[in-house]
Amino acid sequence: MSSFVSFTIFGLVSGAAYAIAASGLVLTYTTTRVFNIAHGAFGMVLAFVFWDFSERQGLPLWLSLVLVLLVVAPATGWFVSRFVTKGLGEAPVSVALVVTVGLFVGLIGLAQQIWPPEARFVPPFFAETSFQLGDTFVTAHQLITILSSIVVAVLLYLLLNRTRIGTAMRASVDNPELLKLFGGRPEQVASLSWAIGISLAALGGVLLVSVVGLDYYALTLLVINAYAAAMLGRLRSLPLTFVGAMGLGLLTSYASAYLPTEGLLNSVRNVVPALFLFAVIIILPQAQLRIGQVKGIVSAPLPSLGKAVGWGLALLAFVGLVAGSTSQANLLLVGTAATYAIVMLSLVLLTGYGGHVSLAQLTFAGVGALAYAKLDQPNLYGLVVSALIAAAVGGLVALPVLRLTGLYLALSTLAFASIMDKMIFQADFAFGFNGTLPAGRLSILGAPINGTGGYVFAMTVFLVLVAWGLLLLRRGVLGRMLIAMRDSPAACGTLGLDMRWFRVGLFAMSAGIAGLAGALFAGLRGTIGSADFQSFNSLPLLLLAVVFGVTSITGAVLGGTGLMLLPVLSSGDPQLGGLLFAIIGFGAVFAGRDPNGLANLLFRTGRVLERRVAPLVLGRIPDLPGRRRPAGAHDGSVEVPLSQLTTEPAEAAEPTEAPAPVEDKKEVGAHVATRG
Amino acid sequence: MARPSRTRTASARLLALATLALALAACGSQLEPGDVRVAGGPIAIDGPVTSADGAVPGASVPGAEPGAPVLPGSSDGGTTTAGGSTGRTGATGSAGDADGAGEPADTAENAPTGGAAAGSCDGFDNDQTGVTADTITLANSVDISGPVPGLFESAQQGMRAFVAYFNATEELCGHKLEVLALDSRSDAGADQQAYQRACDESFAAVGSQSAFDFGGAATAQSCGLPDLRAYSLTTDRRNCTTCYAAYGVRPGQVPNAMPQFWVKKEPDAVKHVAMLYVNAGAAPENASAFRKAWTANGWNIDIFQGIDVSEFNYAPYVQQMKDKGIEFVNYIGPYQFTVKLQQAMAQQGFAPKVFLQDATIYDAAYVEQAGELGNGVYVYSQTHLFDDFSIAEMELYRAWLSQVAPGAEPTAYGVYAWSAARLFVQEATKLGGKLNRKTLVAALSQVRDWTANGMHVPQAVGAKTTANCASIIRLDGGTWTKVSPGEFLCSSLSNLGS
Repeated sequence: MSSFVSFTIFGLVSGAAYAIAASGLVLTYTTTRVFNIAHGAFGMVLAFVFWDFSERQGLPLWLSLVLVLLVVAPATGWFVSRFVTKGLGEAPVSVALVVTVGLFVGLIGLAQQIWPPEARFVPPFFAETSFQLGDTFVTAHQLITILSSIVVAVLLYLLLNRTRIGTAMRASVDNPELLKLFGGRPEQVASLSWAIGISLAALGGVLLVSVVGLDYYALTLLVINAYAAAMLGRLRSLPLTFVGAMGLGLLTSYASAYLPTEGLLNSVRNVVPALFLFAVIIILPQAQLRIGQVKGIVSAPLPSLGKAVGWGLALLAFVGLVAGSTSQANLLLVGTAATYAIVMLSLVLLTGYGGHVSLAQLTFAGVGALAYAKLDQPNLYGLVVSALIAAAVGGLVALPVLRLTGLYLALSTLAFASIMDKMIFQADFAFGFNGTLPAGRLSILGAPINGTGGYVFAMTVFLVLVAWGLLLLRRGVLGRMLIAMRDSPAACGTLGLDMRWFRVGLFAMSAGIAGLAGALFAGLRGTIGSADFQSFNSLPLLLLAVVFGVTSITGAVLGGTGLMLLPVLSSGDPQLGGLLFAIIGFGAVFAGRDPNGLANLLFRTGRVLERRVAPLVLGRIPDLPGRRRPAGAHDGSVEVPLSQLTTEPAEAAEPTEAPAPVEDKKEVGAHVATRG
Repeated sequence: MARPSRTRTASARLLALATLALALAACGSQLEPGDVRVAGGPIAIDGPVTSADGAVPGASVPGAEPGAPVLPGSSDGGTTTAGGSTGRTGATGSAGDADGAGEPADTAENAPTGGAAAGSCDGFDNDQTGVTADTITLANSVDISGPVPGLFESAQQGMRAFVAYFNATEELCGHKLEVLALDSRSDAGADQQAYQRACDESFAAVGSQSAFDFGGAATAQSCGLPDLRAYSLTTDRRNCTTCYAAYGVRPGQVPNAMPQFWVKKEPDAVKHVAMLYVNAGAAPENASAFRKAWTANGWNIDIFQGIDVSEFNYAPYVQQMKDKGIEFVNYIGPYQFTVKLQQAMAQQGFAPKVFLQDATIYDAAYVEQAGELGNGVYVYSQTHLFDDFSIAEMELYRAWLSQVAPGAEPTAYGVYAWSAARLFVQEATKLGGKLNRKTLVAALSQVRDWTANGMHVPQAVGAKTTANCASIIRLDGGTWTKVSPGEFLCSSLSNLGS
């Protein structure tokens, strides 16, 4: 009996840590509608700052605490709310998530840059003191943690429900304009709530650092466990969040104590927070997050058929050239980039066209790779079946989350990925614990592809085929339905479109594409393991996909290359690695606002060049008989004013094609074509 | 919804400026970890320095300026330091000089080529991959960047240290050794890429180590690359026919010497054992195998528990151990988690008779972080103590390590990487002009009882079996001492099947 009490006390200590983390998270969400995935990362950085003040610079403990909790943390929160997350609450979920994921990655890079890896240690508060409760010892530090969490919960509740500023906080998220009319200042309110939120993250970091250690990832990832607690309160109710946090802490403690130490049940212990999150999200009714907003995104232009074919063939030619000329080691890098590009294509379908954020694409790739390795059919049949298996898993995952949207959907995919990672992939019927499986190189219609160059070329062929497939889809009825669903689910509902099964199909298709990528990757690598598809890496995947452009194929290809290059560049110089992460992370914070990403910049540059340079170039090309060329360049941009649209199909004029001389066949009035 | 673009541009500029400023400040404001270590630590950067625990090899390392070869037959005077045992570095050639009583003898075997009979250099093929008229390129691929920065960097340092020692005075049939340093980034894909480069640009890979070494195993085998590693950590790498490791492990083979030692020393405590391990890497697999073997030797494992990597509250596990009356705790995992476990044990007032771990915690970083908690901790180690300069080879390793990586700490990985490099040089020297990838692999397959001149337990490198010897060392007040008798405890192996 006494050990049950002991386990309960330990559970309360864990729960207190989760409660502090979750409270800050809920506060920022409740008042600004931004779910701060980087909450733990802030806590980690501020824990480092605390170490810097108290250990490296030797300031007194109380002074360090005051500086961190009352000066640095609130200042950081104010800065972030004014310059980084302003207006993010109104943005689509993908944008909001990506910005905070960008902060997440950037903060880790920043910490690595400012405090390079070495052994650091923060002692617990009152290290010598402990209290005995029966058989159990509770240290002073643990007691402080529990008391702090209770105090924080009570104070926050009072703040939000009993004070004017708290009421203003809650009002600003519902209707900032109305609040302004009443003399409130929503921006100041948002800054205040972020200041408090980041201070709470700092408090959590400072209390946990003596236990968890000054590790860039451990503190950051700990808070992900606290999402489950935040979800129990439906990101709104602080008391329920507190209860959820304590419940989660107790559950993990009892699981450690009473679950069997072997077999599949043993691995359940590792996924208790993820299971808790998944269960909470599915079982509890989803809080209404956004009502009746029409949120159209200006999409990246859709290339005409000719352009799509042209660029696809150009990419194939480029890769073919590279395959013939570069070293084998570099070819492996190209193959890796192709894999990531295909996975990002799946994100283009799901997030770019469909508007749903998934943090589990790499996991689906892992399912595809696992199926391919297990089937042991290194041919087109095996490839297709692996993709279908991944699609089936994607559909299965979509079923319980049918009614979820936006943030809830994203978090449920995160929970799913975590469960797959720690439990399913490790099971004996899958990769086995840290095990690996061999995977054969593909043979197409009986002809084996043995060389790496040939295999990478084949991967690129699949990439181009999938890209063309997506573009065809986009042009058709399905594509238009997707865009409609993304822009306004409410409007679709009033039109009688049943979106639920459509969504299952969408998820399945997206998972299938990712599975295809995984199977191809397995063939490239020859030996594949669960370590190659860690759920954590889906975050930078999403980040780079959105930064480079999740609405266009070009963005996916560039994003895949970028994701491949990231560790390669940072391995050359470890100091550079941190800086690179910081730049990309913080860069994503701004670039992520436009889901069309950097690819859109490229398109715009291309159009500008076409407008300015093409006539000059074309003017010098000699006349060739039989070619009629319309006056203006066109590319199907949606920015064309309505009055200039015609229904006349126009030819896709490539600058290199020999047109008729401009002065001869000039059309009166510009024929500017829309989508080809 | 979106802020006006001017504000956004201004904010972007401000943030970029702030980041730049921070980065520049960070570049200039920090002490190098190496400087911090040197200020407090025993390793000399240049010149002899005394240390708290004994001698440090002095400045007169032969060929201390690389490219200043010491002629055979000449010997450098050793430096006497305040610690007691003298620092004495190996002289080249066959002359062994002893400076007095208690001095380790410089023997031919400590020479870079090991004093073995060199094969004739006739017919040396300079057209092989990784070989030019005057260099032989050796690849070394270890986990440096990744989630745990510098994880196995000490292995690369150990290998580079030996190559520097060799190049200072010797040549391999007129060739100097060049190192192709690669980073496998704690990633199987990167391991494959690194080994592809090794296949294309080097003659052989020496002293490599990666947590995900299965990535490049097939690549190494398919190009016939001799891969003489420090450690092979996955089954795929062990099964690769051209891959060998200075530290041998065969899955399913567990040495009995260590459990037998404890049965004699603490017969009661071994009846109440808790085995805790981190749920990552090879730890669970190893823990299972150890459990079977140790139970067969008379231990009683009351608790066998995996702990997740993200676990931060170890108190429930400690409570379990208290409830079951555990007297002997064994942990398998990284030293950072060992410290967490020990902290939780201290907080709960739980002090078992024995806390035992493998050489993962035989590391200066653990000693620093554990502080007083490390007192009385036992380690079963397959190397001699890093400060035992009665082993001339250990002294050489320490001296040349501080040459190529000032401030670097010795680790078991570094020792075995040095050992791998020495084995390569000795086998290559014996082969002489017949040296090529095939002959090297064939020669390695015959290696038995390899100790790298007494640095570590005898390893049957060619047979790829587990070593059956170990020593038990104990930490007290920041110093490690050997508590097991003799050089090493050796006994049979438990064969548990794969």
